[in-house]
Amino acid sequence: MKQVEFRQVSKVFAAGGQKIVALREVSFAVGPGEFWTIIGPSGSGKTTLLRCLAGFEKPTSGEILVAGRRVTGPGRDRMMVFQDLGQLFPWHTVLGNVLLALRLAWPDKSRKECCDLARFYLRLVGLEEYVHLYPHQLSGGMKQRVAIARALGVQPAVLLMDEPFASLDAITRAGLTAELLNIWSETRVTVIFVTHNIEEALITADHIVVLARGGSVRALVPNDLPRPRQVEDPAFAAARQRLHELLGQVPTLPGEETAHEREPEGHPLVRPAPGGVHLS
Amino acid sequence: MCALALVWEFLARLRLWPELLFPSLSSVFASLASEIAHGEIAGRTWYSLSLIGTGLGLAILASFLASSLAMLFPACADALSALMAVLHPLPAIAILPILLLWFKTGPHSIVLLILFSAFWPLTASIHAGLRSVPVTQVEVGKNLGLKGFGLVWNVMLPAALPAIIAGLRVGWARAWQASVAAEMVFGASGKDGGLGWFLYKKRYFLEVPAVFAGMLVIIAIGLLVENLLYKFLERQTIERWGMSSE
Repeated sequence: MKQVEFRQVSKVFAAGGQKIVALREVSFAVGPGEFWTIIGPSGSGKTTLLRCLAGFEKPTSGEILVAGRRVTGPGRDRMMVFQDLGQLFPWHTVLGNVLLALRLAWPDKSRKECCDLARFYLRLVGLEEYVHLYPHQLSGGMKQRVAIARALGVQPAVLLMDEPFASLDAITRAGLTAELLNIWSETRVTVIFVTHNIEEALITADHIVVLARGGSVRALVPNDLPRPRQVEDPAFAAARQRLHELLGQVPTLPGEETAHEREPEGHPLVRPAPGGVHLS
Repeated sequence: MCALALVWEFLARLRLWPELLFPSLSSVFASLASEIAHGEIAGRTWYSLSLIGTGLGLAILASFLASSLAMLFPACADALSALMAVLHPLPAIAILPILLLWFKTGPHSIVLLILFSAFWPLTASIHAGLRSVPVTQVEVGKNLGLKGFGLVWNVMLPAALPAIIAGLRVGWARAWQASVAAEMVFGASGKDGGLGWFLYKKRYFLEVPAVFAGMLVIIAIGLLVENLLYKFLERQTIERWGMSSE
């Protein structure tokens, strides 16, 4: 059975009498333990896709299955790590934040057992020495680690990550990405990771979903580069070039609305390819 | 503070005004000492505080209930907003005549007046605080399976704590105003009466130093509550959690 399955998922927002298509008939299936990365320019529905899967938004049509069950609302089988550095509860310590999640997820376990489990996950993200600090005493990177520990502690069927490192500086970001991959290879949790950074997608993913503006799937790209991935690897450079070209395509079918008419954010890696390059 | 006291004492000694109306600070303290000694002021203070405690306690419970319901059910939110728009601008003391007609004079009328005067500012603060809880934190709560009162209790109320504490400060001030004002309007029933009644009675007998002594007691209680209760509460909660705006 597939761990996560998108079946013809569309999402249309109504805004001021105007219909905005955020997702257009998105279909793909994620196997257990796989790392999938969703990439696309701004306005391509990356976040909407993840929010539909998390149950915060309802698809206009189509359905999403997690471990065979249809998604109808938020649930602990799909834990989200947000980009927002304010996602921890400031009134709980690091330990308290994870503990609250575990107490809710495991009502049959004793407080002691939950505490031990919380410490286990905090050790996994390298924060065992900071369990008694409050979130406002942590750096941005540490906050995101706590959020990851909290989400993993619930032992979800799939871990959803919505640009979790996008608010961090480049060095912290690279470090955390590498650590996330270590955690993933230790826990073999299924991950769906949203980013607009091509290198981040290539370093992390088994499979890359390339979304086009207007929320349709441009391409599903398997990523077979050997791990750990090296940016200097010629194969990596070739894959990066291929993704550039895929992302450079802006499909504007006449008479159809796209999600946003703004230009994509000026990320140096995302440049329109000259001419029209079509892939698979 | 000391300078203020010295100026007061100096002006009083100049005898610019009759001593009866503008007593010296030393006579005020002498009066305070004697009121404390024969126990009247302590009883009055205790009586006021017990009424305020009851009224404010009920107001806090009612406010939490009302704002939680308003968060959970949109219809309740509409009703609360409409009521708040109509009743919040009404000075609490203005409903005293109706309270007296409906409930007669006595402590329960004062408690109801305190409840009414503290409820609206408290509810307005708590409601505003609950509505401005960061969306991400609410979504994390939902993601963890919280809903309804569980979500309000575990996520929204703690996140709204800075606004709640601000509301408690206003509620406390309003409660004092209401209790003192009410006793000045209808006096006290029987032998019972609080500080408002004390001030009123001392004015009636032209014991002006005792009037000032009563005011000093109210000021002292205000300072104690602010510095011991609220500051302590803030240090233990929102300052420790990095949630205070300062």
